[in-house]
Amino acid sequence: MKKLLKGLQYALLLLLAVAAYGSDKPSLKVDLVLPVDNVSLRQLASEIASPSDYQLQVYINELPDPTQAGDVLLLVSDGLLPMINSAHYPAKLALYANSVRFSPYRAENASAVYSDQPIARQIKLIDAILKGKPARIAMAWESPSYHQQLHQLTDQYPQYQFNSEQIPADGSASQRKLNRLIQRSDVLLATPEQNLYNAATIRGVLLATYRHQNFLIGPNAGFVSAGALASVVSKPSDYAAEAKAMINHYRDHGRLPMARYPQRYSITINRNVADSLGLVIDDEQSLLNTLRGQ
Amino acid sequence: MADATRHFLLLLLVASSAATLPSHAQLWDNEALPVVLTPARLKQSRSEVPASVSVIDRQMIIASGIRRIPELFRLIPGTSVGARDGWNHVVSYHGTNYRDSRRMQVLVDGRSIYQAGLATVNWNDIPLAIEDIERIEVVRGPSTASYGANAFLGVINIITRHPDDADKLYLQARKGDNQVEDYLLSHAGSFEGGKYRLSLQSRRDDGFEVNRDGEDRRDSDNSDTLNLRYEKALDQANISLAMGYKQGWVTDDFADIDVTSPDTRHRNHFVSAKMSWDLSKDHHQHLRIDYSGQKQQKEWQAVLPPAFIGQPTHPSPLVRVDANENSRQTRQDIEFQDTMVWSPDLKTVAGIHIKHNRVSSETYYDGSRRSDSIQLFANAEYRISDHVTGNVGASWERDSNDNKDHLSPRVSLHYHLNNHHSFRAVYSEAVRSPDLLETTADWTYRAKNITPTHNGQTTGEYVVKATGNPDLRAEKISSREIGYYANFQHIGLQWDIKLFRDHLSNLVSDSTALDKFSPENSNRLRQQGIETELDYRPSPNWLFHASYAYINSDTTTQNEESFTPSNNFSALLSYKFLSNTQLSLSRYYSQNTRRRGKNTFSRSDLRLAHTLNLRGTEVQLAYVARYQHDDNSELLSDNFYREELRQLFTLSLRY
Repeated sequence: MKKLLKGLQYALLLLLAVAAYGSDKPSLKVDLVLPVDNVSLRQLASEIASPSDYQLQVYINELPDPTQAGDVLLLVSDGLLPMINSAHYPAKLALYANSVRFSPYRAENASAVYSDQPIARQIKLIDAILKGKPARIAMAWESPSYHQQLHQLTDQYPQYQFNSEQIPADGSASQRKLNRLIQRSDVLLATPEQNLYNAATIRGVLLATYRHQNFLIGPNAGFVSAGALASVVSKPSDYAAEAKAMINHYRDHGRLPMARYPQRYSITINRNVADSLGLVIDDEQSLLNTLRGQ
Repeated sequence: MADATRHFLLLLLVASSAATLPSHAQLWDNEALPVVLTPARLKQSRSEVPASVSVIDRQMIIASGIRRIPELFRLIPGTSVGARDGWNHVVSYHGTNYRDSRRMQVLVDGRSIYQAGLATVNWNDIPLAIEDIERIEVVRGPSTASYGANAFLGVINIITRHPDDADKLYLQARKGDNQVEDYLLSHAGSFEGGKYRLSLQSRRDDGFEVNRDGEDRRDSDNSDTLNLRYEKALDQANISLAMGYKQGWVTDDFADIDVTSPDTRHRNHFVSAKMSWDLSKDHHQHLRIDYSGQKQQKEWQAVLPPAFIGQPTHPSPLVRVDANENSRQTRQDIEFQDTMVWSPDLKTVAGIHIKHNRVSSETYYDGSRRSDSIQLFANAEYRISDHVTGNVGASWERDSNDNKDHLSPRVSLHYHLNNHHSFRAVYSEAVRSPDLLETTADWTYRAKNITPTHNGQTTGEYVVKATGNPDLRAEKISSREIGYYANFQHIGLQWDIKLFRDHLSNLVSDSTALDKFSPENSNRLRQQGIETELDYRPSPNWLFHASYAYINSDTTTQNEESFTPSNNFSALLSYKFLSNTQLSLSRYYSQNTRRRGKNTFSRSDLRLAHTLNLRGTEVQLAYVARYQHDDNSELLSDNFYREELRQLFTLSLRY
């Protein structure tokens, strides 16, 4: 059993390497570090590797030996961010890293594709759902960066009253504060802060929004399946494409683009929740077109 | 080999959990989050509900400035609200007979508060402060198929505030005309991994002020209540516990023969436990157990001719006797319900409800009575096509009191023009099994301590006696309605209109008074009319709610339309301004049928509230004025206030 698993892992690495060697140009070497080994991440690795003119090596939760290091270090998720400081690469790219957590690692040769969606994009989604009907939009936050993002939008949306409140995550006291916020609002926008929104807290939050005919937007697809109404989401394939685009940009221009939010995204809606709340919402594609201003 | 594999898997698990920050678990892995709002837990959208449903939410309760729960139902189209005494309210959809609220089912968090022993809903006995109500859903129409007996004309479903939503500390004091003096202390917190809310309330008022002759009325209310709710969420399950206690007394007017005050002391309690669990995201079940008890103590002295208590040879022209209307009631309920989503197009709700009632009273029963009932119910909602949805439901019930099987069906069809507009057609039948008082009453006053005595006889029995009719059959209703519901969500407007025609038969219509107690299934009633309701909330600062109903009745007895409004209107308007001030106005108008001389109820209320925020503590001062437009008596002929204007001041503190 143990041998079989290890064998599979090597086979995968070999396969990726062969795929990369397929092109004849002497190519860029990209070292991809995954936090864990699971099906969806393997799928991501193969999408990043598939037809490209760079060579991809995959490592699980560890950096390659410095002698083996390639040209670009590609890290997946927040947990691996400390590797940005410890590794010596001409270019380092964090894929699916939270924007706030990435900010201390900002450097000349380090960039990122954020795991979170910008607040402005989620507000656009709320606006597309409400179609401009005046409403109270609540947002609880721990990190002031989300509040600043929201604050910048106030003038743009005079029809909305933004109830933005810092709620330190400390168990039941924070849930009471959050529930109070839900009760004096119509929509709750979840920030991508796992201290506030996680498997343990989501039940209380969703049941409270549902009790008050309120609805939750964001922060990602998982929450929409759990019972949030909708969210802007970027799929693994979007991230694979973002990573490829960043690496190609580096190959062509010798530097990585600035850290950014994923430029490829879509909308996901929980139809059951919408129906139960009596909300009539356009389909995902129409909402996306509205968001993109088409 | 097996051991080695297990060892490896264990290592893998440990290694991956150690190396994994929380975010990794969610890395495109939706399974990490529980599905909270599962298809089985989600409620039907209002546009698909197989009945006409009205909602009174917290915002409306606050804006209305109403102090007593039953008065809220003036906001519901076609609903009659009246007070027999200041503390004795009757609420009935489509009115009919005001003698008792025996044709409506009233639930508080799923627990029925109908008291079978005295066949009534005693609104004054509910250990619940209006401030602790989250929302009220009123099903306008027979709903035995889902709610069991007594859901004859409709269902009032009161949902209290979840402990998670309540404030850590809330204090409120209210004072006003008519000796109104209320206090409320409410606290919410955590205990053993769950949340609780505890409320203590004290409520006093003087009821109506004068009778038709301008003499003082005695109908004051003094109530102290305790209400506790506890909620605990487990992995795939939820536990809810609730309990309440009320004690208090109400005063009553002296009858001609009374020499001491015929006041009543009440002591009530209830305990509820509910457990619900998910077998899968498409399969949800709950089990609930409720227990409640009411003790009523009413003892007084009267003076009357001895012939009235069976002593015609007594030498004194008058004797003094002790009388009582004491009673004790208990009720136990067990309910199991199963909700299953078979496919996105088919959902079923089915279950069983077992009920046991017991009452003992010397005066009403000369002993005690009990009744048992069992109900099986099943409802299915089915999406026939994109435009058409259907609901079919039925309930089978057997009550030991009449020992007959009753089947109550309901069918409905919805046609959805589009997502905003739907038409509905509903046919439903319901029964109301006769209650214990109607079938088994053995009602007379047993006089004690007769003074002076004659031949050493100190006890006697009032010569007028009322006896129940054991052959009574269940009352029946069949109801037809067509309706239209529109939801203009982007301007915040909801509109509903309903046309109905109801046939009620086998009605037991006589008033339950000792001297004219002859329960017979002798009457029928036809009601038809139109009802409409509009809710408009264009922005969070505005709220407008209005209702109107026109009802035409045709009956074999005046009693059955004594409480029916022929025209019934309500409007509530509320506006928030300066971010901390709210002004609300409401208007209630109800006109009785011609048989009651088109008697009207006409009142306007105003509420002005201002909130201050002092370092995390909200302080609110509210003023309520109620102005009565007519000088009619309310419901009965001795219910008058001296002044047209009555005022209330409320100070509250929220921390």
